[in-house]
Amino acid sequence: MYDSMAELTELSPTELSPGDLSNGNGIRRESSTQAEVTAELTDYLGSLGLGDEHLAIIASLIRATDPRATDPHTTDPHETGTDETGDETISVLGKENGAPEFQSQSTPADTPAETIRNPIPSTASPPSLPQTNAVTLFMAEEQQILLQAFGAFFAEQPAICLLGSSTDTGSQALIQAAQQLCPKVMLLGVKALRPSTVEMLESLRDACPNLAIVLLFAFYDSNGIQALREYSRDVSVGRAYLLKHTIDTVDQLTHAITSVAEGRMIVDPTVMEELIKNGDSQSGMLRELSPRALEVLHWVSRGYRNETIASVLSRDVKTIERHINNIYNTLLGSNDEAKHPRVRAALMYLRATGVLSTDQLKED
Amino acid sequence: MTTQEMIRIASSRPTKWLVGEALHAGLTLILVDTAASHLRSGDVERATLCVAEAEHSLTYLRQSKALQNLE
Repeated sequence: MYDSMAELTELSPTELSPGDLSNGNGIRRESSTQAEVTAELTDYLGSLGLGDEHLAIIASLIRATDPRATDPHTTDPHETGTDETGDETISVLGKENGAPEFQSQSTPADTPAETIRNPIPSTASPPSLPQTNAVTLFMAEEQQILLQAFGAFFAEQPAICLLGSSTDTGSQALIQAAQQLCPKVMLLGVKALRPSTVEMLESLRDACPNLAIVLLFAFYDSNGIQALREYSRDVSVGRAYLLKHTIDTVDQLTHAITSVAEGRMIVDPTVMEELIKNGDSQSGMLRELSPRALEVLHWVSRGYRNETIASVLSRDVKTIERHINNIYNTLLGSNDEAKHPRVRAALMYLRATGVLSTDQLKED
Repeated sequence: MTTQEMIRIASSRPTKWLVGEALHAGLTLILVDTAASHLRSGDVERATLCVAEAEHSLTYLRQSKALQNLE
């Protein structure tokens, strides 16, 4: 009946009665005891036409699955889906009239908790509590299978607090999700990077300028890369541009998310190469660098010291120094008297990745 | 069933739901069974609401199973 996860709540009240709802934007703020939740549920199921026999079965199932009786993990009131009364519940997001819909998932107590749809069952091991500094995330992924996989992965990641997800990657849906849930980072997965993808990113940036983005894509065309390069010039918050097939572990993706939340920019080496190809001839010299050297240069451009880069990349400081000397030789030639080689190399990198425009460099 | 009645029922959908695999498995079966009864009696609208609600419970079960498979 439904094509995607995002459509599963298609028959929500607002969908059925545009402009005629008592709950306004569909979001309700309330705190209920388990008895109240049970009563409300029973009334609703009764109105759907369930008979007394069926309602009695439901009542017995509710009693049998009392979370406090069956699951010791749910004793913490901040655990997944547990409201402040200690009763384990799921809240369901309503939606605004005619607006695109998304599902929201686990969240810490201080986020818009009234919009939660929590998939964590009481009989499963609950995920770790979100850390107080956990990065709040919204996921939009065109491919449902990846969306579900990411959702399952992030449920186990204490560094990530997943607020919601959707298979709808349209501008309208993304902007609404960002404005309603206020995530720190949006993970956006598309099949192909095209100019239209970048246009959507631009709309998102205009509506939510502080939102960091992790963009995942499987394919790209030259126009898409060119548009991405132009777009990157006007972005001041964290960004990651990654190819889906290059992500091997959950930790890699988690690292990318936490990094962009801190304002960093991460570019996949292959994407980087394409960005450079679209740059000028001087930036093209970066193509001579190895992927590892490019990675080192990335951290150099972020202002990190050699010791820190060595720590980040789990390499010896001397190895990092060798990479940096190689970078200088490649980019600046054998001119040993070149002033500020570190700064010049970093500027070349930033220009190649589109973070700095040529005009800005000339002014500097 | 009138459209207004359908709206009233949909509007009364609880914002909070109890969790539990047994509960949602039972709900799914009962709702599908009830939807079939509504269809036999010609109440397509109410059957639609039941199927939609069954989908919600089924989604919950799918997500629950996905998490368990990861463990």
